[in-house]
Amino acid sequence: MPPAPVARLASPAARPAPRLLRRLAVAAAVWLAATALFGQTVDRKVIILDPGHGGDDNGARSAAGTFEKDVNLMLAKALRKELSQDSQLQVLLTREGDQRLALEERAIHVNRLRADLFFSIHCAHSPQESAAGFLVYYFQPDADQTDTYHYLKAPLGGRELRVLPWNLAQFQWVPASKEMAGILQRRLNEFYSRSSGAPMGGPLKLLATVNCPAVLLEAGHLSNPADEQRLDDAGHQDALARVLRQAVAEFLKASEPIRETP
Amino acid sequence: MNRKVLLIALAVTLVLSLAGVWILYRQERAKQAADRQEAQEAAAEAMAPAATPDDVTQGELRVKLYFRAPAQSAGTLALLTPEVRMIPQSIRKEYLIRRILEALLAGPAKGGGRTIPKGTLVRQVFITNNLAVIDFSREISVRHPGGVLGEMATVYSIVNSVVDNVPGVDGVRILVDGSERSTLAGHLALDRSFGAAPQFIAGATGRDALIQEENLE
Repeated sequence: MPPAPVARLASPAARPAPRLLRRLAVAAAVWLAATALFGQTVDRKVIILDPGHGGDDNGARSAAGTFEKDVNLMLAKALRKELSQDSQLQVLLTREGDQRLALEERAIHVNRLRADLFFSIHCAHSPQESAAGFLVYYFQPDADQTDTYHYLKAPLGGRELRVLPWNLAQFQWVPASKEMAGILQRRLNEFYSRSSGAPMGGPLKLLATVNCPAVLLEAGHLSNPADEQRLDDAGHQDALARVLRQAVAEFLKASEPIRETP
Repeated sequence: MNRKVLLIALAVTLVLSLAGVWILYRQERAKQAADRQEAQEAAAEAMAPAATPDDVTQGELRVKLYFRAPAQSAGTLALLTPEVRMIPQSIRKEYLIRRILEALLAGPAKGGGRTIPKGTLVRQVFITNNLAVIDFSREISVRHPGGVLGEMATVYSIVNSVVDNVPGVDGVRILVDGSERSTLAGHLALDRSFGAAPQFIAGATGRDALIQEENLE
């Protein structure tokens, strides 16, 4: 009887420990790396920047022919560049190019990604050329129509089921959004050397459907030549982006306790 | 030589043909515009309150209308400025609302700015459960210059003017061309009813917000 086959068959069983150890070590390394990577991802705050308008929706247009949609995109990209320096932030845009997006599509994007902050960027326009400066908005339910904003209620096995309609998702975030709008207004007041100012609350359709703290900034008036020049200037865009980054950082630092429990 | 002449003749023929098509196109567009204008005027005439037998008036009523605040209000949240008018007092609330809206559509007489775009018509007004439902023609949206502030001024000038002057009406729902619209002109939600918002009226609050005013045409 030839011994060789027995020796070959016995060979793997003769050295099980080193191979198993190697496999275990590799698996452990992969698991540790994945855990570290995943852990870092879940800890990062997701910020969605939304350049307003796009595609055949040009938004406002300046006398010189500048479209609001283009300025909005430039500002959003400048802000993303600034915010991306913070490794704890994951910054995404609702549109990267010149495409039309419905308000609902923007909100779906934000809600699917479970964003920590939604920041819509626009420019103002006025028939009065002298009108100038930035405006900050947040979603504010109508005080006299609060019943519109109540949760839908239904009995469910002896307790009450409360459902918030999707298009009123912002309702639970109003205090946080107002806080963010206030921080933004204060930072921009300082940046532009304004002595006072306050954000405006209103039933803005886009913000109403967003399920996280949300603000809308009109960064300046495209109808005002001085504002237009500033908005188009790369240096000013970067400076503005730095101020906005400070506002975002200040808000995120203090935002956790603000959310109302539904 | 003959080829050159032929080419020139072809080019002239092409240019003349294009010019002819262009002239016909312009004439057709002008005819369509005239027909549309005629239809709008006919519709406005048909919906005029005076033509309706149940619109009974009784003397005059002093109403407070809200228009876009003038430029000197820049720097505050005051979007709207009040203007007192005397209008025929309709017995039925629906007609009273219509008269208030027609006064708003006519624009301010004492400064300030228009809040409803020119050419807008009031198609229908009805009241249900203290809520006035007002159906405007599409011009209120398509001719609106846009912008968040401008849209807020339009909606709240209508809402405040109606709720302040019509007893028993607490809110307003705005329809456009008979349907609910998502937004007025891209920003402000119209899929809900609105109550009066005194915080946007000049003099109603002491808040200084450094908000620069936009005025509608």
